[in-house]
Amino acid sequence: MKKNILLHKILAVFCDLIIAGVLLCTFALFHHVIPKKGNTENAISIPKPTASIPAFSLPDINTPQVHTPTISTTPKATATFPYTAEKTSDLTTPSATPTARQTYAETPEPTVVQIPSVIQTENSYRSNNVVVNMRTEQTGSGKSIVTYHIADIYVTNVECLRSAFAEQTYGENYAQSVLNQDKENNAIVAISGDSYGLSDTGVVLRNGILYKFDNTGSDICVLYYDGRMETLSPGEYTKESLVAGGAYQVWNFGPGLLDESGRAKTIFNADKYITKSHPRASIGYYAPGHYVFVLVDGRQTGYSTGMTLSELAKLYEDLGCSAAYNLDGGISAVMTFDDSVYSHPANTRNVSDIIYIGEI
Amino acid sequence: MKTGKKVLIIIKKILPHLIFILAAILIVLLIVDYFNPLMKFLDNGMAYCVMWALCVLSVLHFIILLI
Repeated sequence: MKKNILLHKILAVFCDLIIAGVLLCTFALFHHVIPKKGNTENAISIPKPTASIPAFSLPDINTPQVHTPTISTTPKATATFPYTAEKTSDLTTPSATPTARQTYAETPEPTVVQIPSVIQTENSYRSNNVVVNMRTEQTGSGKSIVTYHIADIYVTNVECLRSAFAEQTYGENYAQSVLNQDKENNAIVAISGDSYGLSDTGVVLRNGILYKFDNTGSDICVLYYDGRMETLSPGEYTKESLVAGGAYQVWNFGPGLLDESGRAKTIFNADKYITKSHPRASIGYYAPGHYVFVLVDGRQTGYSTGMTLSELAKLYEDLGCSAAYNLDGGISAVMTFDDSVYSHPANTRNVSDIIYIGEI
Repeated sequence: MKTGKKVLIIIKKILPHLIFILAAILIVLLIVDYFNPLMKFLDNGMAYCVMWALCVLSVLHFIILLI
């Protein structure tokens, strides 16, 4: 009799656990799987400055401006950036078949020499609007070796630096690989974004459209139409200030990595979890028209362990940036270039958005 | 009166199970949130509903035990 009662109780607990499991699966389904379109009815289009968007100049082709960090731990830097054109796409010849990336130059008469030529190598891209120099660096040694990839970017127009939503849709749980998003948007170089889709709250302002504004207590990174980029702490921005300031992009993950004088911060506005060593995706700023993407590989002992926030901040200080911002890292962190994955992630997952450079 | 008593007995029997189920869900969410807080397992509407339900049912259970 006692045995039966005990069995009955164990069965009841077992049933409760199964019900809890089913409810958790349902929770996960709604929270992480089923896509929900975001409300775009209240989206605000940020007016462009009354004066035309300034055009920035590109570096001279003969003087590549590669910023090499002064990290002294290990000299095993594999920075190879040949500026020699291995592959020159001359779109002026009738027989040349323009790639998807080159279709911006849609000239009805292919014989007319008006199309900007694109010079592309394994590690660089140059057109009349964009210069991208890719390189990979390593620091540390043995088990503490760290590998990171730098995309040094010059654009003539700030609108070459764009964001894209997975499946071209604003909402929750829309996700695609960085590579697929890169290809769909004809990106030259792309990195994973701030994973806005993971959170119900936050600031989402992309390509001049403000979709959502909730002050969450996180630092934000703002790119303005005039080409400036800055990181702002909570309390330093409002919806009105972003609109009035001509914000073109806002990313909401963080934290900001450099102080006003371009020195690495020592205290970060972030959870303890984020400050630890992880794979990283991040964006930095030198001057209007000159930006940098840094992607740190991680969680691969012997190849790359990842970086702490302090290490990443120091890297940006050494690069000479005046602002830098941490984006979603971990297995989200991926960098693509020339329609292939440039970084070497241990694992990847689909992400809700990317930041990329494209032709205008 | 009899019906009221019957309902009370049923509630008395079901309530601990409901509390256990909600507590189990919350424990799992707390554990996964500890490992990756960026996924916002606890910082969302559904997790808040679970917390509210657990609190309300716990108070109800306390009251029923007092009666």
